[in-house]
Amino acid sequence: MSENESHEAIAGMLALAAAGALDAQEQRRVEEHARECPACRRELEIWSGYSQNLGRLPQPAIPAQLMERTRTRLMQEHAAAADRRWDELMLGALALFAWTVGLTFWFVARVVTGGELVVMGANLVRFGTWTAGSTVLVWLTAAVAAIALGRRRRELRRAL
Amino acid sequence: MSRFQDEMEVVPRPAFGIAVCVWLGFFLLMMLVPFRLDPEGRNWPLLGKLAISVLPGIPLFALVLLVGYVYADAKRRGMRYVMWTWLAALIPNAIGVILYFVLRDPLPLSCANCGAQVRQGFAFCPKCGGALSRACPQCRYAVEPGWTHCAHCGASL
Repeated sequence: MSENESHEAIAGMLALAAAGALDAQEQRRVEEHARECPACRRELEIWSGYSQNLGRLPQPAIPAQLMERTRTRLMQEHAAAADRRWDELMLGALALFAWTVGLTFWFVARVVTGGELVVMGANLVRFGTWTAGSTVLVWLTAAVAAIALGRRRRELRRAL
Repeated sequence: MSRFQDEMEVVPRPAFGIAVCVWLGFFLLMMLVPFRLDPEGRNWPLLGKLAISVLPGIPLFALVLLVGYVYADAKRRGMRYVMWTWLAALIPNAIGVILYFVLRDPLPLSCANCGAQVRQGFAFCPKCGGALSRACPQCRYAVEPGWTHCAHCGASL
């Protein structure tokens, strides 16, 4: 390493040396360089001054049970995230399940009725009619859910 | 124990019995009715007959377990469990079950002092008055960890 490169490397370690954050070998290297180099010596003195003054400042008191509270909060957030993931997964699985049940009922109704169940001129067990009926039902249920959710939000807001 | 196993523990034992009965009923229905109605069906291979009789009962078996779950879960959450059980059972295509999962209340907490079931978000137990979570010193509403000010009255915490 050239003298210039060594100077650059040592200059970058001066603040750490003043704070006592270097290992013994690096500390010795910095001190030896600072004895020979007036610019680094001056800078090391400035950093050492900062370090000593910072040490004299009053240390903030760590709030009681900080560790315990932080751990509890982390655990709560972890549990809440796991719950959210589980709910999303379950709703996806339930949507698939709903389709399976719908198709099963259609199949059973078709097999049991021999493929014909005419009500008011419409064959209810035809795939198209059955799917249209299921879709209407889903939309109606979604509307009821939206109304119920909206009402609950209003109640919660009123309670706050 | 996994989350799925935890949730399965909620399903009441009789629901398993009812689910098996429903599956058996469907098995018999599918084994006997279609093949009697359709003369060509009698010529089906045994494997086909078995598949048509066994498979349709499986989603219904699961549906009965889900209805049982809705009953027990709504009960432990302090919801109207009879109404929700009927909705889960009677709205076709398992839509009632989905509706329940979207709208269900959060699980209640147990008071550490008297063991009573209390709704989440309460700062004090309504039965014994014991503290359940941190409360605002001014308005006594529950406050969450990490808040520096009360969200209800603005008091510094």
